[in-house]
Amino acid sequence: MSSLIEIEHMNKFYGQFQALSDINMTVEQGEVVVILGPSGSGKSTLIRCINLLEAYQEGEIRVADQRVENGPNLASIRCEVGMVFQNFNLYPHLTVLANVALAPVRVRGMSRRSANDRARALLEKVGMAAHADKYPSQLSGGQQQRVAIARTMAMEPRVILFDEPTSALDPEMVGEVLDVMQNLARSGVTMIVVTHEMGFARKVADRVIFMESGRIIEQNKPQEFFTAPQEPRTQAFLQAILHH
Amino acid sequence: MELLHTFFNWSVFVDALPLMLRGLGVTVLLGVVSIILGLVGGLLLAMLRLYAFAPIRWLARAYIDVLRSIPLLVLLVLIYYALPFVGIRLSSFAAAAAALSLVSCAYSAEIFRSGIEAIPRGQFEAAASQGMSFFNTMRDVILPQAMRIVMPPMTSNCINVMKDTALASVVAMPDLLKQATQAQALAANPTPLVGAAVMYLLLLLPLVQMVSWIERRNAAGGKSA
Ligand SMILES: Nc1ncnc2c1ncn2[C@@H]1O[C@H](COP(=O)(O)OP(=O)(O)OP(=O)(O)O)[C@@H](O)[C@H]1O
Ligand SMILES: [Mg+2]
Repeated sequence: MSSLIEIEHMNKFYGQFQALSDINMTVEQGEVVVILGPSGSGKSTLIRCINLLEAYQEGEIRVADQRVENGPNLASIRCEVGMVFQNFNLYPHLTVLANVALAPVRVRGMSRRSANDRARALLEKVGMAAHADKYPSQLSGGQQQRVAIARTMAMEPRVILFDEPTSALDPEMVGEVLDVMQNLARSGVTMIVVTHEMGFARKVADRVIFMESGRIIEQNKPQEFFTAPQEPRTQAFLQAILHH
Repeated sequence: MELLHTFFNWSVFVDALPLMLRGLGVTVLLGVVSIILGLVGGLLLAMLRLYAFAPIRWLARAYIDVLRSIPLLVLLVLIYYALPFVGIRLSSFAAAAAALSLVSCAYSAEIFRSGIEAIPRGQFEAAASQGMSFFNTMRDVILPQAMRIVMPPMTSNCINVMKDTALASVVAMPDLLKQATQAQALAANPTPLVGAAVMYLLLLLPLVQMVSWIERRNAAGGKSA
C-alpha cells in the first residue's frame, strides 16, 4: 500500500539557487507532520511544491498515487490538498459564509444550498458560526484564520498544508487557532504543519521533520526529536529555540 | 442686452432645440455603445496582455501601445475616409463607434491590467490551492476586487469617450455638436453652440463629480473592505 504523499529525490531551484535538495519523505493517511527549521531553510517552499504553487524541477511528488505536475490532473490534485496560509488570504469581497462555500460550488459542483449548509456546519466547528455574514476585514486575525481553516476543510481535502498559520497573529490569538488545529488532528485529518510553535509540535505531531539549507536533516517522533536529537544541527536549533 | 441677445437668444434656441435634442440622443447612443464595446474589448485585451501565450501577449501589448499613441481624430478619419479605398465603407456612426471603442479598449485594457496587478498574490494562490479554474478565479475572486480598484480611472475613461464623441461631427455624423453648428449657421447666431456646451456639461458634470466622490470615499475608507 502506498502512502498518501510520496516525495522522491525532489530538487527545486530558484534560477541558479537550489532551494530544496534531494527531498525524500512520505506522509501517511491520518498523520500529523510538523516541519521545523530556521528561516530560509525551505519549509514553505517544500509544502508549496506539494500543491504546485511552486514548481519543482527534479524528482517526483505524488499525492494519492497521482504525480503532481502541470496538466489536466492538477486541479483535481489541488482539490485533495488544502492549504492554510500565514496571511489567511481570505477573499475580502465575500462574506465569511461565501468564502467557505465558494470553491465547493465552483469546483466540486455542489449546489449553493448544500454548500451553504456545509459551510455553516464547518463555521460552527471552528467557532465562527456567529460571524457568518461578516466580511473578513471585520474579524480579528485569529478569527480570520479559523475561517480560512473552515474554507479549506470545505473542499474535504485528503491532506491540509499549514504554512505558519499563527505567525501573523497577535500572541493572544495564537491559542484559539492552535486549538482548532488540534481538534482537526484528533478527528483524523492528515496535516503537514510548518510552525514555530514547539508546544503544538510536541503535543500534536506524530512526526517532526527538521530542515536546514533546503535539506531534511532529521525526522523522528516528537518525543525522541525533542529529548534526543541525533544531528548536531538539530541540537543547535533546539538549543537556540528552547533557551531564549 | 446685446450680449444676451447674441449668446442666449431664446427664440433661436427654441427653434434649434428639437434637432439638438436629436443630436444629443445620437451623442449619448454613440457614447454608450463605444463605452460598452471599449469595456468588453478592454477586459479581453487585458486578459490576453497578461495571460496569453507569448506571441499573442506581444500582439496585445503592441495593439495597446499603438492605439494609445494615435490621435483619435486621425484614426477616425482613416476609418471613414481611407477604408473605403479597400472596399470597407462604414456609416459615420459605425466609423465613429469603431474609432472610439478601438481606442477606448486600449485604455481600459491598461486600467484593468493595473487593477488586476494590484490584487495580492495570495488571492491567486488561495483560489489555486482550492482547485479553482482560471475562469472561476477571475470571475469570482480577482475581477470583483479589481473592479473596485479601477472604478475611478475607468469612469474617467468613460467620460473621455463621451467627450470624444464630439469628434464624430467631423465625419458628418448628426451628433449634438454637428446639429448645434448647423443651427448656428442657419440662424446666424451662436446660441445653439452655447446650448450644446451646456448640454455636454449637464451630461458629464455629474459623472465627473461621481469620480471625485468615489475617490474621496475610497481614500476615507482606507483599509479597504
Ligand atoms: N521566489 C523566490 N525567488 C528566489 N528565492 C526564493 C524565493 N522564495 C524563496 N526563496 C529562497 O528559498 C529559500 C527557502 O525559502 P522558504 O521561504 O521556503 O524558507 P522558509 O523555511 O519557509 O523560511 P521562513 O521561516 O522565513 O518562512 C530561502 O533562501 C529564500 O530566500
Ligand atoms: Mg516560510
